[in-house]
Amino acid sequence: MNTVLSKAKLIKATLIKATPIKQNLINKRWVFSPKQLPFGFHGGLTLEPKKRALQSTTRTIPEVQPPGELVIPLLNYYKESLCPEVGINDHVIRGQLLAPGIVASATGKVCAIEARNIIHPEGMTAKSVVLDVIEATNTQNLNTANWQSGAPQVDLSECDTPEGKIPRGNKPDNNKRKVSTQIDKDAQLTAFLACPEHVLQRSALAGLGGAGFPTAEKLSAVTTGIQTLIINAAECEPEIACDEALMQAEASEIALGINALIQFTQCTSCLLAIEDSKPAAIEAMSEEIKNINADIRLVIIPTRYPTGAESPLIQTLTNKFIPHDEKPVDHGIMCINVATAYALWQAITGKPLDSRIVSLGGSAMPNPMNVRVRFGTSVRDVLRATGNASAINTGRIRAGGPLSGFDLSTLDVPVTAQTNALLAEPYVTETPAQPCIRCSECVDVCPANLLPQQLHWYAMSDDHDKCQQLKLDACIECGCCDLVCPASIKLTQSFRYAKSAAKSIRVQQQKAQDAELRFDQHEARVARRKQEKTQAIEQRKQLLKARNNPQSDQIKAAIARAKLSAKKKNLQ
Amino acid sequence: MNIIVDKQATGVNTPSTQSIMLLVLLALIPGTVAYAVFISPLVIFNIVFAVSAAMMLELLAVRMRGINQPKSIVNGSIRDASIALAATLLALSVPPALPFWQLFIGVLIMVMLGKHVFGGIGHNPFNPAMVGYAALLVSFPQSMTFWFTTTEWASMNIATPQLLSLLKAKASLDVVASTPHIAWDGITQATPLEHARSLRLQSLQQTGAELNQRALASGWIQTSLGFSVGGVFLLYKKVISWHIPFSVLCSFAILSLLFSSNNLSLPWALLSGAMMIGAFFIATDPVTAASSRRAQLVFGAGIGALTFVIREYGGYPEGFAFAVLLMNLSVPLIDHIDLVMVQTSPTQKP
Repeated sequence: MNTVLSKAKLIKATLIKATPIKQNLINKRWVFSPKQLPFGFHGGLTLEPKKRALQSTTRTIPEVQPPGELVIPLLNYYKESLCPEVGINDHVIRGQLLAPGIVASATGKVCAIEARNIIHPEGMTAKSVVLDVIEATNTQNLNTANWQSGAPQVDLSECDTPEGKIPRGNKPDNNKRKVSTQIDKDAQLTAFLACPEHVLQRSALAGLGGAGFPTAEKLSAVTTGIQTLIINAAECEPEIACDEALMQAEASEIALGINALIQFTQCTSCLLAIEDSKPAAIEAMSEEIKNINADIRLVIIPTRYPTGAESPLIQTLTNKFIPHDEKPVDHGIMCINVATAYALWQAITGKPLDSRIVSLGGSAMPNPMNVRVRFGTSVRDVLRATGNASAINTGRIRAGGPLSGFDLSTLDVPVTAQTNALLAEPYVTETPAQPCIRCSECVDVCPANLLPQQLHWYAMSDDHDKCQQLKLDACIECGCCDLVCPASIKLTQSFRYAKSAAKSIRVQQQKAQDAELRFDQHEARVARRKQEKTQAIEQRKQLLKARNNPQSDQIKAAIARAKLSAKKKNLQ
Repeated sequence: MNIIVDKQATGVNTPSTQSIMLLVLLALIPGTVAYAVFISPLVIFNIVFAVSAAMMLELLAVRMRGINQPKSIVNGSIRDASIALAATLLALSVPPALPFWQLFIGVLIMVMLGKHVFGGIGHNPFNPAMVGYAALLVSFPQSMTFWFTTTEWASMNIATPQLLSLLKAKASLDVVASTPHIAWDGITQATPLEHARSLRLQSLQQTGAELNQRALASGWIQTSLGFSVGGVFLLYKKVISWHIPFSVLCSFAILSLLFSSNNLSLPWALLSGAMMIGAFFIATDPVTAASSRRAQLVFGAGIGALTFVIREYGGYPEGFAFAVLLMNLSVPLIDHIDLVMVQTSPTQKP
């Protein structure tokens, strides 16, 4: 580790000293140093990068064996419940679609589709598919199964060890396949580029940075040309190290994923942003991106929370400010997490996204590490399998980082694509919130350049119009304001509350509008029918009249004729 | 318990309200010591009296408002030390010889009308200390303009009254009547600003050197230097930002240079009266100041300008308290205009 560190420092030192920017522009694969980055974003905090999860990390990342039961919530990014495409007692194969954008993360039997707890600050439940895992027995069949028929090729040969922690061990694999791989890779890439929907629809790709935005949606939104593709490897929060571990372990595959993204988006330039606190990752990636035949640059950015968030990162790299209601794509920028790039390459090679790396950290975690976890594994099982069972009793468990995460009320909640870290922290007595003294510390640190103190005021008084005016929706809930508040006010919590309240009001208004529209349409229909009815009656009346009139004429005529003929008879 | 943002886990140690207030109190020490040495040691008694009275009234007010109090007094509403700070500032701005009962009324108005009628800390639109000061100034104009200093007495060869007799006088109803041995008429109106004002009213001109000499002799220069040392300490500790003190001092200095009618030199004008303690300690009160940095510059400039206008053309020798109160009044307007400007500016970053 030490040698790696010193080497990386050396690289950085030479690069900083190195070269005037102009020469760098000629040389396509170059590295920005923090000093050469003229831009930044407003606010933010420089936090001490505590990476306990990296202590035990070697170059391989262990995997948690799926427990007996997996719970896969049927929720999409917009928190809408999805309709399952499987029924109870169905056998599902790993990688099979359970609902649009959701795949089974293990082979097994669907034993229930019911409401289960999910990772949520308020302990929400969601309709979930409960899988009874029977994967181990099915290994043989799966290896020969065909991806095209819905079942992916999955190499499960490394998944059986008694402890439940399995080294992924790609090294031997790589050596074995080295000769044939290059051709394979090219073929797979061409296949992906020829028909990207095919891969995207089946692989359930989601952003692995923490928000979990569906990548398929992001990639299919590419209509205009993308100028800048940003690969986000800046996890700026303390204790989270999953991307760092991934870059150290799977640098070559990440590079392939980035290459695929570059080819897909046809971008003019690609920036890979890594923070200066990750020398080993920088070294690993700078070796690998040399193999990419495109304009790709490794940018070393200063470690400053929340650079890992999309908007601050774009500001740091390009000095472009993207308003919260616009998408970076509209500005020719696409931001993809480094783990998502890796997952994309996995998807191209036929493995849908069904696991992610989770950082286990926090000061009360006995055995901190980075570990690969299948989606649906409960937090409790993850902690047990990694030898952290004691943390369940001694500390509180958080999902996500110290700032962006939240405490879990129950541990029987499944790990999803958003779960980037599980932290165990000792219990603390919370300082009660004191009144705001308007010190404006929160204004100074807000990366979205908002006025948190005023927003808090209006959020607590349910003044949603004012909140909108002050751009509450632009808040990225980074938690910086909470951290610096001298009065210990829970600002972020109030913003989340106000956002959800505003959302439910919007939904209600929409419902009311819809109801009004329905009512109006109903009224109109009734009125129209009534009118039609009266019109019909009128018409029939007139018709009758019209029919009666000639009839009476005829009768009259007949009478007249009869009279006439009678007269004639009399006359005769 | 559901902690959203975990301060503990980030390992960041950010100051609390209490520690901010205590730091400000700490920063007041050099100025207070200079005040006690060069102007009058009576100020120490004023501070002790005002702080203890304010704490008791705070507890009373909190009880009356029916707020649940933790059992220990230390954990109660006086824990954040904000009321102690306000009381200290009030005690530092009133004349040292002010009778205790008048000071008590000032503290009462400060705690009740300055702070708690609006909902306690964080909700008061006006600086509480300045509310108390202004109320005292309009209620007791004679004793509130009754300044005398030890250094001045020494320079004027008048026997310094014994501290004990002065304290006795302070405890009585009327200081002026009950202080023996002194020809009071001779030394009232003694601060440099008072002097400058009386000269202006009599259309007299004194040379700058004379005025400066007088200001130095009064002890105000030394005291103000003490306060500015404390202010720099606060800036260094990042308890206050530079915006308000800078704009207060700048706008006052610019207007003095352009329009001042007396010969008091600029540094001397800045160092006399309440300018330093005001710029660093009173105007920077975050509760009553403007919120964004840009608005703070406007807020500070307004205070500096109003102070100059009142000193130069007004009926009072010192106008800092009124300037602060007037600008407190316009804070919502400044904040609103600032917000509108941010929202409508073409290069906005919201």
